[in-house]
Amino acid sequence: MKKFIFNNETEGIYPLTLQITDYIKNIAKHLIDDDVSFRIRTILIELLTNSLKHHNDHVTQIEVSLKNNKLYLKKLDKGNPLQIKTTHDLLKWPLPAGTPAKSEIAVYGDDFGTLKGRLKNSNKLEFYTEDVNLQYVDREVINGLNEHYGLMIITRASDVFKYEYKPGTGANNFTSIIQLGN
Amino acid sequence: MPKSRKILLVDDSPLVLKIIGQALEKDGFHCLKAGNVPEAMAHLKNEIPDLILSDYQMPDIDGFAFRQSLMAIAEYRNIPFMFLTSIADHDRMREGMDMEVIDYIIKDTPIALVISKINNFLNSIRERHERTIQELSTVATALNLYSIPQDAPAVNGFDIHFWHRSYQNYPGGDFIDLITIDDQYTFIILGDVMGKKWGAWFFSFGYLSYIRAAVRLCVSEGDLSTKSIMQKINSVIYHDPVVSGLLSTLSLIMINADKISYTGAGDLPLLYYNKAEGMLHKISSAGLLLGVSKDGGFDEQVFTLQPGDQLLMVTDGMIDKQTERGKKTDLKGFENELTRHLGKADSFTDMKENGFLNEIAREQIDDCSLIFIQKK
Amino acid sequence: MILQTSPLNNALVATVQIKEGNMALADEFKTELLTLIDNGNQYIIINFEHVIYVDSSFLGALVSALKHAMNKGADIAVVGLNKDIKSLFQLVRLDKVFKIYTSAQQALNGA
Repeated sequence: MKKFIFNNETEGIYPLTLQITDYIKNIAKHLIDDDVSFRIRTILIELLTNSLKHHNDHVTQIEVSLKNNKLYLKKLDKGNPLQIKTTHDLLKWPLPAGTPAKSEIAVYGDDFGTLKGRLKNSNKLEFYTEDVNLQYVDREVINGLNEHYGLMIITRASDVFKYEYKPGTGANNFTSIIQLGN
Repeated sequence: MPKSRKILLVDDSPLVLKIIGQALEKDGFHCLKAGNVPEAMAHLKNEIPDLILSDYQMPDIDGFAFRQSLMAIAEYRNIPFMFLTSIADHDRMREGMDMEVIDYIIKDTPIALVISKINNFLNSIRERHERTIQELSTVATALNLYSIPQDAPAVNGFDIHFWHRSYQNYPGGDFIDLITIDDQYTFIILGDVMGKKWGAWFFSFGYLSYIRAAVRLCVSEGDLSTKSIMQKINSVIYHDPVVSGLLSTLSLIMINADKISYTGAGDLPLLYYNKAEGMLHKISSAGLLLGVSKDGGFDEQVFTLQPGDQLLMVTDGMIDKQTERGKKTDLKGFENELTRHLGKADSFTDMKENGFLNEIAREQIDDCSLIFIQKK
Repeated sequence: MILQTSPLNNALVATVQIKEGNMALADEFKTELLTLIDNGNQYIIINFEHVIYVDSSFLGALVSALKHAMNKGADIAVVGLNKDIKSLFQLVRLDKVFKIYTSAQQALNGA
């Protein structure tokens, strides 16, 4: 496992993304093709961008590890915990005791698909998308397009993408997992 | 990948059924087996396969006669068909073959080749099919033939949204129209022509033009009753030999200030959310499907929408689902899901963003249409 | 200014002058685009040839501009996308929403 520190400056996003991608290419050379490489860059850019929005002057750390051909990209910080504002609820971690009984929440969506989260327990949320194969795009579709792509991008580029809140330390962990090879 | 492809296998030899059946299933096909033609016909009543693979020589009714009887039935005529033959049958079979039999397989062919031949055959049919759809779709677009309006309409005092998904991107039988007259009366039309895919689309377009004209004509003559307009439309369809064989639902509503008049023909009930009560009501019409009877038995209901009240019109594609035991129509389940989204200032957006409509689009087995009307 | 504009026949080519399309500049990018639309440009070709990557906030700005353009009867095309940016459009299905061309000239012919 290797740790990288992000200074939470916009200018640092791309150099760090390249640095981490290079490191991964070194440790898993034969497993990284163009597509995986694109996914890694994209996930890192969005993880770091997310951190810029919520770091609240805390340090952000990126941990990279490789286990059984699975690449783990983990972002840890002690900034503002995750907040999801759906049209139904505002979910703020830590979730108050006894909240939601239902385990699936729609985060946002448009006619191309819905980003959803599955609550594993009150501190763990796993993201997934439900896609619609839409062929005809009309004005109504465009007018209804979602304008928030961050979590959607990471979810689609990852094989697994999850959030975990650590109640003891107040740490936020986002983990993206990419399956390398078969 | 589309869902698994279905093959109806017809052969009087249980051994052949077993061997070919196993090989097909191993290759991901779903196999229906029949030991004779009556059994095959019984299968066809329940489901239409993607391909029929039939033995040529069978006792009682042979493959030739089977094929002939299929050709006589419109629903079965276009099912891709292949003969399984032995070499001996081969020449005899070719003589009698002016029946659009597209291909045949010699029985002694190694099983792997049989499978690849079937795959090739189905792929070529699919490609041809897709090409045709592409071409028709291009023509339809060029001619500006839309059964569904391109834009959400603007009506004073109301938020109106359409949501329509055609099944597998075929144009289908649903049609929607909105006609505003003198800025005072707005008619909203939702219909569903029974029939399959392109056939239904073709007729829905014809119907729609016809209904548009009829509504305008009625209004210009001072007829502002949805019941009376529906009766006139029904009467003409009933008497017109060209379209009388077609069946269609029709929901017709007229908006005049905050007043709604509604007449339906064989349609699903309107779903009306009363904001003050916080309850969903169904408003059912008495009318029969268009063209079924001379007078149609139509009624007209008039009610008033208060600010925040919501009215939904849907076609049955919205409530039909494929389950393991076949098609299931579930209006109650749809209502239950719906109530979670209704009664908000932005209910329609909510249905879209929270995946409710996307789930319907993902599970649809037919054209789906929904018209959402909210009083501001 | 993020966008440098030049007319091309009936269209306006708006070339993105920055290398990194990230959060720091997304709002400004959006404001400039909206201004071009409000100024009555009917067909805006956004040229990304100098851009290495765009992030989610940039995509959001683009979508917001497209909605605005559509409601004003205008249209937007994007050109000069590198492989990563094109893949990103595909990932979020925006390839089905935006007209994507390789060059401004092609965008002109395709419109």
